[in-house]
Amino acid sequence: MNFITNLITVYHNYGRNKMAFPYNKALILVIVIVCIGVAGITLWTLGETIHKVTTGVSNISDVEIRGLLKGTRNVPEFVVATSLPAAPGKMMVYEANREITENEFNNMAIKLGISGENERVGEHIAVRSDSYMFAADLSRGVMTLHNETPQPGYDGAYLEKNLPSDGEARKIADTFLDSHSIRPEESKFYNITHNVGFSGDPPQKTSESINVWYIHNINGYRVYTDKMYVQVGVHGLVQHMFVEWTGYKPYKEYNIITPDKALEYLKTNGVLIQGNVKDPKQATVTDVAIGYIGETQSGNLPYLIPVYVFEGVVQGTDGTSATFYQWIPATPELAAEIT
Amino acid sequence: MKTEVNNGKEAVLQVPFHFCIRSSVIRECRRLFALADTAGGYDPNEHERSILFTKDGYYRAPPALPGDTQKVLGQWDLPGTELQLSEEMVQLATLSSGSIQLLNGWNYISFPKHLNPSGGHNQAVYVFAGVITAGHSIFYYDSSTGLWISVTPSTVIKPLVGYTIYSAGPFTLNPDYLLPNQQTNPYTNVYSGWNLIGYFDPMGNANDDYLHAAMARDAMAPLGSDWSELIGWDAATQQYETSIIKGSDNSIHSEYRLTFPNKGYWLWMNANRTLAYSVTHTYYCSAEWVRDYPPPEADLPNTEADAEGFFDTLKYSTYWSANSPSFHIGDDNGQAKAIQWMDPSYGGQDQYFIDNTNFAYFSGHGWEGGILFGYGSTRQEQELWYYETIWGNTRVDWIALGSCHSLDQSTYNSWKPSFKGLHSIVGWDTLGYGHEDMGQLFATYLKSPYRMSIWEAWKQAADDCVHASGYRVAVLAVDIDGNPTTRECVDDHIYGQGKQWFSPQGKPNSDEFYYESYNCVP
Repeated sequence: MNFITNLITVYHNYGRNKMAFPYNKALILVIVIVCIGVAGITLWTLGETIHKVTTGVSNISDVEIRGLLKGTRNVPEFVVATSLPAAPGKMMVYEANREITENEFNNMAIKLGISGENERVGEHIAVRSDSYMFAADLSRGVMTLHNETPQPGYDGAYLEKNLPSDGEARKIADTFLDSHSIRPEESKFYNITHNVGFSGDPPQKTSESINVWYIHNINGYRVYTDKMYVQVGVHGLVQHMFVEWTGYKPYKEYNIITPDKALEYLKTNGVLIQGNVKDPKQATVTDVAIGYIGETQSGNLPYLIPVYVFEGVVQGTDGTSATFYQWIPATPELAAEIT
Repeated sequence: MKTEVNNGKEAVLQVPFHFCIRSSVIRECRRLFALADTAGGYDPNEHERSILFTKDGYYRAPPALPGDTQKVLGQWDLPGTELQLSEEMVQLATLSSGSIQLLNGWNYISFPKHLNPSGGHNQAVYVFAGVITAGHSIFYYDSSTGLWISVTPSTVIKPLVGYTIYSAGPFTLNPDYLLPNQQTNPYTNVYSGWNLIGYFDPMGNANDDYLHAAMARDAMAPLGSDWSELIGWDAATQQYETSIIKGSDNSIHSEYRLTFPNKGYWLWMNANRTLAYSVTHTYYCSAEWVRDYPPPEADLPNTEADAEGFFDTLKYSTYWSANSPSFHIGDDNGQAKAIQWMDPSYGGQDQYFIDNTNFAYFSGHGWEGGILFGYGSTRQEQELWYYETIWGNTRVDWIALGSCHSLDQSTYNSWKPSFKGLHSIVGWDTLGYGHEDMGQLFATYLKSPYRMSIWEAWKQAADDCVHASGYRVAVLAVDIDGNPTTRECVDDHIYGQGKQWFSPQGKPNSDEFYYESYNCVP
């Protein structure tokens, strides 16, 4: 019998039995105590809902399992063309800490060799010296270094000669991070991408830069919503740096669903197709990974939560195809509460 | 001393026809192209002929310089400068650097801001000190009397006045301007007939260090319909530039051509007016979003937050306003419509909506050919195709399209004819990411303390939102001079942030664009 059924029983007994009158005061006292107890429990429960999350995965079948990305489409048939990852059974959920203090910002600026007067607008702060601006959103921990000098265009031959190779760009980026002691812990080189601009008609390549991209790994699991890149331009000049890096501390360990279960949810939730496929026929899963996210399209999450990341190719009935991806929460009950 | 030369009303001038290369520290270039039928004789349209010629059919040239003789052209003959487009395009000038380049020979110049009166720094003796004029006087033109007037040492040099000065060899003037916050609104009287005026930036603000060019249409807007012709002077070639004609929309005489700081212009007025400018301006933004789409298109739940985030953030930026003509509407009650982005020549009303603000933002579905709205009983009503748009012919400077594939790298060329005063479009080359914070972040990065260029802010906002591979954002911007080493509008910052922007001409050629696609780092 819980507190509420206990209260009802007492009340009913009182109504049917006048002999209960001598117990009036005691009964009122009990009711008051019970009310206080119920109110307390209610407040406690609400508080838990708002500020904390339920522990463990008790019964995931009673929560709505959904992909974390919007704008998805269902595909009638799925083919898995890769091996599913080994499920760890349990994974740690981390409390996210994105805030940086103005002092931390200043220290970073000093490391970057940028000294000047801080310009602060709300949570946004910037400092400038020479042609560089270093700025941050203190509440979200997003930091930017930017060369504010407009870059000229070049002809293709000049770019060919004066843009570093990918390998050189990576060395430049690594050296930049290490020489300024700003390489985050747990960062790992991940990829290189090029940005190309065109002028004229017919278009001729007149600008190009290289993004050297680093990812954040926690115990071997990638945080898919963290990133850092250093942009290297002509003559090996660092043009831009972007850092979105989540601080964290362990919260609780959670059971996670199996990859097969996640695949089931993927099939029912649909995928985000990155192209024009009018009538999707078949989705071929080419990669499945487990990692963390701290953000959805609707904003930041209070935790870094485990997800299965599915990637692949969708084919349409008309022969068109496009890549797809989707995040499926690996701790669905937790995800349902906070997303 | 007054030197009467002529009344300037119906003078005819034979101008030399030669070209030379200008050597200057100012980044500049020259637009020069002939119409295909030039060899057969360019034929102005009826409106242009009514401006270019007197009633008797003689070319109406500006007043000749003192001491110059004028050769009368034959009836209905035009000088070579009016047969092919020739204009100097000076593109970078700052108030703090303040320099004005004089070239060998006659120069028609102006001072874009009030000079500092302290110590007589606004007087001719200081301003023109060191110029070797080879015995020539420095002149300005009194259009109320039709007289050239010699500048004396104590003459106060003012904005909105055009000055002619002869320089024996190149020389750099270094005027001492009043500080931006001490500048006041300049004005001058202009009279029916020819006036020699100075350029004033019609869009700048008190905290701008940069001096911006502007389309003649905008520079002359304070005169309403009372002006009809504007003629600049190319000091490098010592000849007049091709005239700009009010109401003209062809490549040669178009009022969408640029006018430039530090230059003097002959202005033909049809009535007496006061030419006045404000040293500060208010700018307007707009945002539209579509959340609920008719089947088969999927609804887009984040578009409202996306677009409203942009609007709410930018409207509080210095000099920007949320008041009319600014607006923000979504698909509630079917308010957001394709016709609000469509030019009147295609049945649209963009002159009252998107083209009536300075910065417009859209969040909704898009494809390689345009953007999609929910309002309308037919798909045709819901679709806005690139070929239905002409942007900037009323006001709009920048457009952000938060919609899939609108700037797809295989089809971006389609948007080029839509530029008629528009500086740039930013959008998605690929699928859009659909993040609800994109607009708010974009506007945040445009403002203090970041003050990023529009393109840099768009990239940064995308990098801030995108967390998956395969997304690319893009920009299509006017490259004003068609010179690939300079990128002009791709480096535009928004008004009021103390940073540079570049005003494009109203009808860029297809090779006068820059396109870049940026791989978002997931």
